[in-house]
Amino acid sequence: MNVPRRIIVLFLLSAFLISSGISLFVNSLFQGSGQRYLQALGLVFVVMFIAIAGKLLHYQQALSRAKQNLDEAQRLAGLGSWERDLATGKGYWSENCYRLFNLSPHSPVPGMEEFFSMLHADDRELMRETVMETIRRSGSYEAKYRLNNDSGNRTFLSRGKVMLDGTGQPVTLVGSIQDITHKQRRDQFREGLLKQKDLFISRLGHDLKTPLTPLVALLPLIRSRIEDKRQLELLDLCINNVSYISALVAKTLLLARLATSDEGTSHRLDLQLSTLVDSIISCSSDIIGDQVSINNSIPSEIVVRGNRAELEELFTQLFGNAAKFSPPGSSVAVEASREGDMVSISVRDNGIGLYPEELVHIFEDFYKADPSRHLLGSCGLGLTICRRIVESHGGRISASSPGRDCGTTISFTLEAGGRI
Amino acid sequence: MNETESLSGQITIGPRVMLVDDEECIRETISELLDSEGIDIVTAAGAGECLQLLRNGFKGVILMDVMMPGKDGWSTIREIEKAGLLKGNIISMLTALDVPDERMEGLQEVIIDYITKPFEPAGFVENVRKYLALLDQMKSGS
Repeated sequence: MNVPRRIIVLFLLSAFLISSGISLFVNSLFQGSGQRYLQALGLVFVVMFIAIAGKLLHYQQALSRAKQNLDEAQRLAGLGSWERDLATGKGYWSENCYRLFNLSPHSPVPGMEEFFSMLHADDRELMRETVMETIRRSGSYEAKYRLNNDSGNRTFLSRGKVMLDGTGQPVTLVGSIQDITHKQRRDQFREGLLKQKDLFISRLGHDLKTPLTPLVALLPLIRSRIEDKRQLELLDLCINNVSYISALVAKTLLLARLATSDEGTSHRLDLQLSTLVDSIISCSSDIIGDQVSINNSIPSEIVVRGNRAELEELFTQLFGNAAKFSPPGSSVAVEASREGDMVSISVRDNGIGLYPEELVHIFEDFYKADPSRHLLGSCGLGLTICRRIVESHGGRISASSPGRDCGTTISFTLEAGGRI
Repeated sequence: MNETESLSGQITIGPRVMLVDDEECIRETISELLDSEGIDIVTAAGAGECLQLLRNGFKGVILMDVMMPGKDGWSTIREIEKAGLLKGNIISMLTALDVPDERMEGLQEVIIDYITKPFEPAGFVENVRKYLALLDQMKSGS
């Protein structure tokens, strides 16, 4: 901000008057004495005064610019800052605070009670209790409120914190307010869309799975009643494709649910990993088959925190993949170790392995090493589901392989749980 | 075939499995599947038919679809409960949803299982046999 012209004129006039005054005073004291050096000293005082005053003007200018920038930034962000002295009750509001409250910046800072009276009746008492409790325990708070008779029906997010002096005594309550009306409306809109999407997935799931049921259930029954070899071959072709569509539908719906649902975060438990893996192995015999053995070497003290259903899905997918791409008679090793707050887990098979260029893509949706090949039983979503589950649990997943036909290791992390 | 006591006190013989599903293709599928395994089944297209069968003395395993127009599976169970027709029956939900419905809460003692569509036929028949065995156990225990 430029210093107003009238201040500069006043400053120059004051400097001139003061310097003239000092010169006259010195001259009157030493007139005729010939001690002109005293006059020179007076002149030095004047020059020093001008230099100091110039510097002060410079700081005042910088401060004024910073204040203007802060105000502009607060205006753009819909933010206001405030402070209240806990001993005197006097306060400070930034200019944008006044604007947000539809008050003139020249009006006095409202007292505590006056402030509470400006809030919406439904939010007033809760806000009063929150602030008073924060002051009592010298803590901090975050609360939402609306204003009384606000035509925009805006919602504000208020944050406050009690500041202590050197002896630990509460001195001031400082804080900010932010107009979050648009954000809140966007969130509500987003929540509405997510609900619509969940409903759509649910209906789509129902509409896809219902007609699949007769196909999945009756085709094997029909097959058992047929003896003609060629008819059996054709029917097997149908059965395999129906199985593929069925798996694709199930995985696509699961993936869609994982992308939107917060179920994973809301049903987390501490789970003993070794027991969980054992139960998955025993329940997945139809997926793993009897050609490949899974060796669980996870120490019994390893505990992870997660959603049981999702972790069961994760391991089932990984074991199914490992079994699918491993030669008969081979084994799959499952290991885990605690690393700080996380548990590092690996599933290592002796299967077909991966080329280096495949390693970065295998967790992508619908990825297949050869996209032109339509592999029944592999829709390219299994590892995407694994990635989603691991990431929703705050972990990371990666693949490594020494090369083709040298096996694959899928490594991932999960949050460590407490002692069980 | 089983013995069921109707409201009039008569002992009747009839199917021990009831399927409640609005989709005709599902009713046909499950009927064919269970018939082929020698398990007698009766079907209902909705809550009204289900309640009527229960009033007529049906007692056994009820396979109840969740998503049905009008009264869904959960409302139908509440109706059965309200009419005092729950005793002597066990219910397994049949659904195309892939997660247990939150409306199941409070009905865990009544509902013994949750079968998701599409189901693998051999596993499905095995489950129905288990429910029937459980029903026999309950009957001999009471």
